[in-house]
Amino acid sequence: MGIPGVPFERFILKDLLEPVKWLIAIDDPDVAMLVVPPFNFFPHYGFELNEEIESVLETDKAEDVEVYVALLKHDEGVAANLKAPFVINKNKKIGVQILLEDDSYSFKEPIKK
Amino acid sequence: MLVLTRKTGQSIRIGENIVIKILYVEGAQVKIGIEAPKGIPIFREELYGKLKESNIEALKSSKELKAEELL
Repeated sequence: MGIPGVPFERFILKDLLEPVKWLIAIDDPDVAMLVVPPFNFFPHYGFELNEEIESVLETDKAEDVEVYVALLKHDEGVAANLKAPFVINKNKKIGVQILLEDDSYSFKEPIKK
Repeated sequence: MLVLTRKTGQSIRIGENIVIKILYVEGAQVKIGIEAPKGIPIFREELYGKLKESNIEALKSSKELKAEELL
């Protein structure tokens, strides 16, 4: 399914500095974004996966699924894209970026340290 | 752009597997039902635009951000 705006389909996750990882396009390692698991920074963050996404990920078990959000530069620091998280089935190496309907999440949510 | 006129309850089929049905029309709003194979992402166009922009921005940010800023 790919990532809208990013012309590649295959990505790997590489540790940078815990908990930050690189999400890198396999076919062009220069194309990369920084991602983090959102729950450390946004403890109340959460969403339901619908059946369609579960079938794309080939699992309906929460323990198979990892969630990451992209980091963005913000006026005074760092923000996270909570509106469109990456959900990944780590066992099957299938990932997809989903767009949440929830209006309380934005594409650029400042991270408070 | 292909332009078709449809009535409430009528559909449009795109290829073998995609059906778009006009559910109802009220004033300037149209409610649409979409059947598409699993794995075909469907977005509201304006949100897709924002999603794309935010991903492009994330690629750019990755060259400027330092992971240490988070810690």
